[in-house]
Amino acid sequence: MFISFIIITFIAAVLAYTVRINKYNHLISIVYSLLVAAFSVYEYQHLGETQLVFFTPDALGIIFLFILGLLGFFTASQYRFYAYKRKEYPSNVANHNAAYVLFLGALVGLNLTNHFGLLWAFVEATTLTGSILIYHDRNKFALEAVWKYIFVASISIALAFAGILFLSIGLQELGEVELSFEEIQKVASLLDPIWLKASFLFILTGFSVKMGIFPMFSVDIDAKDTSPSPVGAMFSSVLMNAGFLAIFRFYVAFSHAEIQPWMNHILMIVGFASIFFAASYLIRVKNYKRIFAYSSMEHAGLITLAISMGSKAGYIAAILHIIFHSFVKAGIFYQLGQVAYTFKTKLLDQAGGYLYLNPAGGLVLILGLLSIVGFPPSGLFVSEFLIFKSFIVGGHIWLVITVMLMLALIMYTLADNVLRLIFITPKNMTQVDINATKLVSKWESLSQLFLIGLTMYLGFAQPDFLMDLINEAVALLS
Amino acid sequence: MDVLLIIIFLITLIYLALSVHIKNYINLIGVQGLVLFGIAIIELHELDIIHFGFILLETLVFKALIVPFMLYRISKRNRIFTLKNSSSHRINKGFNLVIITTAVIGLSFLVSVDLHDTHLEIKYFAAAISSIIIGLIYIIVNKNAIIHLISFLVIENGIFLLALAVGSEMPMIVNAAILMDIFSSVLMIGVFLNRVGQFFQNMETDYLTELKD
Repeated sequence: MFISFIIITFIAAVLAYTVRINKYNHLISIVYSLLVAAFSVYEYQHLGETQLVFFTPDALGIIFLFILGLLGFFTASQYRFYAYKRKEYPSNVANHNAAYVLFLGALVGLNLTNHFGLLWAFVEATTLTGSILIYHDRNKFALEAVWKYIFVASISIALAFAGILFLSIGLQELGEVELSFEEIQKVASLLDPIWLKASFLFILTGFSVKMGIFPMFSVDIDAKDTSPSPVGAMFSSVLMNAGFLAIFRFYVAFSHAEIQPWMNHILMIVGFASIFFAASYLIRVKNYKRIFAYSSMEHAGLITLAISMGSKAGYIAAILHIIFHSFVKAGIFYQLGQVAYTFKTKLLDQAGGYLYLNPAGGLVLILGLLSIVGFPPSGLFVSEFLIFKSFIVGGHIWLVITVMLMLALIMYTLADNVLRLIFITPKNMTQVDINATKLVSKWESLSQLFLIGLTMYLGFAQPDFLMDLINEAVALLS
Repeated sequence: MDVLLIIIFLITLIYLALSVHIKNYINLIGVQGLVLFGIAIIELHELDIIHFGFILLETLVFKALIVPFMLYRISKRNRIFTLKNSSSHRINKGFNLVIITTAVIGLSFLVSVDLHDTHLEIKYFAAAISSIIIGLIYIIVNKNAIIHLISFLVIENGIFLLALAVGSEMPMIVNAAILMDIFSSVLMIGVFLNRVGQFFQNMETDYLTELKD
């Protein structure tokens, strides 16, 4: 089955690249994304079964695969609206959809692989395909973003590879050991801590560019700002999840070694720094896409802090938080595409009164804002509550106070700017083309309302299969 | 022989610190490719013929020939031949950078010896770490995008050397490093060759400031 999936992925990419009629091209990417969703269900039914030696669906990989299936379909559909309104050239749509198919394929491989070398290769593949997605508009801004993204992401991925090499050097004294998750977990306690520490440090630095956390976060913000909004949604959700998964796989594998407390300290510093920088930058940001990009960084920081607690409660809270964040943030980014189309600017001082121009879209932004700041009944309220509970149980009161202060600042900045965008029409606002706004269908907002509604539902009524998967995912941790 | 090759590799790192002409930088990248080709022959001759051939092809054809050729084209196309009289350096070039480079190499060797790891090939490991750190330093101290690209290639060469240090036991790792090299470098150079020069004059990264908060 897996080999069929790989073949279909390449066929779909070639078809998407060669078919130059937009209607059919979108159909290819939508059908492929549905296939990914169906494949995730198939893999769930074959949990723990190894395919093609290097692929074994495990609980965490399946959770992220489900998210990928759902958001992959919504993103493909949203991009159809995006391209239609902007009257994109067929060549542009073909390039985008071909890269999108390969991007989804790489993420499927990343979620399912059981091998550290392949995990790294799939992360690299997301950089290559993601770069094409960022360069969609082919203007000066897109070029600057893609150049910075390729450059910094390539260096980061090279550093992550150095981390894997350090691990390999450490493994040499044990003779022939495969770089599979299972094998490394078994032998981690026998390895020299110096190599494990060096490996983890380089891997964390390298994959931070994908998760959008300190230290390599800057190009991620530019990429989310410059790329089409459906792509920004993918970068803020499934790609961030991929970065988390890559780091978490190593964390789990090394957790049985004596370096676990040291890894927790490093993660705490990184998580804290991410929230600190997100809060600091958010104060001066005047671009609504960048505001939500920094908000993703803040949530990624919170997730990292939850992992750093080194407790089962912290791990569960982190996984719940990343699931809820994916849905809400994707919904918001889809909507930001409509906002940008309506106002023809991303600057907050030139846009406003969105609710009166697009009531359904305004409603999405209001609910999205409430959800992303963790206001009840958002699922993020539940997961943030669990995260702070894990801080208190871990005896980190200073962390609770400082993080809460920073979150309060972030919430205020987000609410201040986004509520202005929704309700207040600024004096120097650019003239809105009313005819153009008619092209924004209210049905476009339906998927966004569904995603935000789903987060609210999941926050209070997690299905048994989801909790079973989460519990299984954290069971491997010591 | 391998010691001699490592010394040549380290000399190229120091010479990079003294260079002002783009041509010199490109030649040095080519020399590093040749050195890595030599080290690969010495270290990996026990591998099966397919892996070995692939590695030799990559080092000789890609690193020593194709990449320098493409860099020459970028330099020519964008009419950037020297870094003199430009504000390309954030610190004074010349001896400052030579001292930093030499210090990094010295420290890398000291740390490598201090690790007391019997399985570690100290000479490769120290040269690899030096190359990675020096590449990162060059990116920080230079503002010119071509030098950034060359610095990235220096880092890649360091990673390749590190991979060679574990190569005979793990050919898959070396192959993965090669693929990373090829994909990242080609994509980056391709973007550069076709687009960046058209939009951004002088190749100074100070011009890449359209995206800001």
